[in-house]
Amino acid sequence: MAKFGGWAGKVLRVNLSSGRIWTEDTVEHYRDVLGGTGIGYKVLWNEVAAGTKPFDPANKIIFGVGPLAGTGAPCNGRTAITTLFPTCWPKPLVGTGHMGGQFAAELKYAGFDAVIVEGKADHPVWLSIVDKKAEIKDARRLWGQGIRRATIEISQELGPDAAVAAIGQAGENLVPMSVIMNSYSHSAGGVGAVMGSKNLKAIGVRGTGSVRIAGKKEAWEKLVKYHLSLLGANNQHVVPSTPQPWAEYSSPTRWVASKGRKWGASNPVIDTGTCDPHDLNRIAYRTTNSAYYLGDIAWQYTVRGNGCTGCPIRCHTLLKVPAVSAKYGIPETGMNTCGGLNFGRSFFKKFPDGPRGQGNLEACMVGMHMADDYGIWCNYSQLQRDFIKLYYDGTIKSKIPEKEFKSYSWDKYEGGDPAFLFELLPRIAMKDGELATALGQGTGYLLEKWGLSEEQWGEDKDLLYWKMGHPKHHSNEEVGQCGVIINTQYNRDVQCHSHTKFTRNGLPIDVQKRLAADIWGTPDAVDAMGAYTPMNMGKAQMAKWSLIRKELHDSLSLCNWMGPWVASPLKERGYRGDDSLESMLYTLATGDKKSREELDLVGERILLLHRALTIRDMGTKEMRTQHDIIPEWVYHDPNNKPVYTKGTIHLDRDDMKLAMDMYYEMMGWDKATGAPPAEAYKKLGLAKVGEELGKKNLLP
Amino acid sequence: MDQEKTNEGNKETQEREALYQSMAADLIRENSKAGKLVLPEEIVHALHTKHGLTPVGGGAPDGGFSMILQETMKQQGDLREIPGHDGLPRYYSEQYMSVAYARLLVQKEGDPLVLIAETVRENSKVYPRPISRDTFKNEPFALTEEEMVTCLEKMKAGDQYNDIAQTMTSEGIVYLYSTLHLDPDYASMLAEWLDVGQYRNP
Repeated sequence: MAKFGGWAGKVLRVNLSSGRIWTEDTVEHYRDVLGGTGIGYKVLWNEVAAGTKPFDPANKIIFGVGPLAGTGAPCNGRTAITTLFPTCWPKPLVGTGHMGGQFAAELKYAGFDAVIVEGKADHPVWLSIVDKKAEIKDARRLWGQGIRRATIEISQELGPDAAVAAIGQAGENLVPMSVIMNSYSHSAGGVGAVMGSKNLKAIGVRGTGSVRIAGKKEAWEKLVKYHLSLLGANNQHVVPSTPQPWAEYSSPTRWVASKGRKWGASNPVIDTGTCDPHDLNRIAYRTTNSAYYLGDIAWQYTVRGNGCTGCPIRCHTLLKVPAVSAKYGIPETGMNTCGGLNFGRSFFKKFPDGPRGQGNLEACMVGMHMADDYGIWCNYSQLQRDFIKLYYDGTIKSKIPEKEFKSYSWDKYEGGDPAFLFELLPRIAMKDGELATALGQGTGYLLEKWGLSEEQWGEDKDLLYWKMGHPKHHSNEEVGQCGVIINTQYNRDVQCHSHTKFTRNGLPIDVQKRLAADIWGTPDAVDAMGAYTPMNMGKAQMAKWSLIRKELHDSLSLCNWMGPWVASPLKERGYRGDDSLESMLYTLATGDKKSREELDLVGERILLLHRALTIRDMGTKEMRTQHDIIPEWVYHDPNNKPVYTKGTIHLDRDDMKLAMDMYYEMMGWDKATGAPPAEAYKKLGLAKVGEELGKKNLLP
Repeated sequence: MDQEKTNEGNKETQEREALYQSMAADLIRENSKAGKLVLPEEIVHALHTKHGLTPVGGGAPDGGFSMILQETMKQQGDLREIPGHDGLPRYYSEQYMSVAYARLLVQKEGDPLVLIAETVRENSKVYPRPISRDTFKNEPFALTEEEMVTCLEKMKAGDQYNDIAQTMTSEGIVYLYSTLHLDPDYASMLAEWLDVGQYRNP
């Protein structure tokens, strides 16, 4: 048994080429990087050589969870899947897909903190993990089936409480734009094809164990209750979207509950009600993402919220739309959140009955049905934005064979008929035709294949393209310079929500500034949205904090779509949350006492390891110019409004240079190159990493 | 003996007063939870008819209930008074209702035009943000389309409302803002973000 609580104690290692299965001690090998992405980056650094490609057997795919998974800490259901990312262009680099659902907790209950898979099976297999025992099983009867069928069949063998992470036909066919999905609707983007390249169809997990909490029961329960008391709605929005009796403020947030707003497809119908934040039994009623994304029409079709193990937020909405069953021959129920809900509707420029009518709703249902079964990834809707542009500017017509072009019902597409998706999505999954194959490669490879200019993509503000084949993810449109800095740091769209949760939490700007002064040292760390001011060190501090907390969450198994919890809905606290929640939970769960500052250093270590991997595998230390790229559209306003005036989100080039200078300074990195020096690695316990980079002349 | 009877009588009176205060406080709190302000006569009526309580003092027209109410407000730390549209008091519990919501309810008692204008101005100043026109058709505003149209027309005609302006998003939704606090470009950008940008940037 592990010396500490929290961790299950073992990492499962599987070599699919040899069939060997063995374990490692988690604490001995990985305590310094916690879990999740920390384990992923460490394994890739130590065991996967630069130049390895995503589909090589030598590539490894690491399903990592953290010491807080399965503990009952709120919002703990995340699994980080780290590997060489297939859509990363022009060179595959380290990347992580993240999924919620039930997998993380079940893996812990089965006795493992991570599963590391390497090699390639000589025929389709699935991995069975049941209470510390792992077996490689034949999956030939599952291969070619969708995710749902695979999940059901494996669940029939392992039991209804099993969690199954599976790929669909997209992953099997090595479509880079593919996902791994568990619990039917919780997907990790961009990593499906790596599993497919190993002939690994699924991992089924069943665990009847539990997670040991090092601290006293009363203290743990008190801490969990305290954490619950600080929760807002989805994305930690702490202000309701309409005036409520208890609330001082209201703003269009994801806290959409209100008396009279009802889950119309539940039986009996459920009124979401006023949801006083002191009533901890009504947290799950605060969020109804179906209505938030699809409009008021969705209320009548909403059954309930669903979500990850033990998470009270329930951000996955279950919808029941009977019309789609008769009209399209698909199940009348579907469930997802955010990009998943947007998947189908985002392909269309317009619908006959408007942007939030029945057509939009049906496109959502059809899109979810197919994407979540074929296992297709949207790359934060870059797939759909690219498709719209390529169709309407005539590129698709000019690039694909005429016969293939005519095989699509473009009149249906232009008319906003969701039935069009039945023609497109299966083809993407099956690599059927030039168009589908190109789309499935991801933006970078598509641009390259069709001889299109990445520069041109980066100038078009509607495309929201950032770099290396991926889009922006919460950048200057909501968090100014801080958002831009964050978006430069990864090899896929950044998947960081630490910053955006704060600026979108619904609190008035004066309150946000008061909280910002406490958290980042100055009220000037945040600006009102669209009323940006020049760069300052507070914003650099916020960027650093956001990135470190993202890595901490991805390594602890806390949800970065909810945490950090630095704001709360409680007026009596001045709307303050608690910036030490992560360290309190970690300390009590594991028994490894760490203050907020100490745990942040661990997060910084994990972030630095990601940087090191990227530098090594890119073969350059010139990160500032080669990697930390800012697309041109950030610097332009469609109405030519001057920068730093109210009503524009564009930024100033020189100011962004200063922003990057400040960020590098904050991180202790070389300003000229953006590369960490040897001292930075040494400071964070990665001296050997620094030495190895030094030998390759990759230190500044 | 007489002293004992007097003491017993006083004790009984005190206990009855305490009971009335407790019931009055509970009534205010229950209504606050439900999003309602309470009028004094509602408290009197409830105590008298629902609970069958009889007045304790002599002389006062309401049988002494106003004294009970005053004492209740003094003793119960969460209870607040706010003048209504008619100048008469309304009561609420700060434990369940914010002063902002209480103020909104008072505005709702009066001219809907003022309700809309003040809400728009406050949102434009405090957050700052424009507010969608449709907001006023939902609770707690609950204005009809007819009322909205009438109010917005009147605003155009009245000098004291010429700061209330409109902007439309790309999805056809109208937002209202005050030019005292938001200029048109900024309001337009914010409206587009709130209505379209937020859900398209999940």
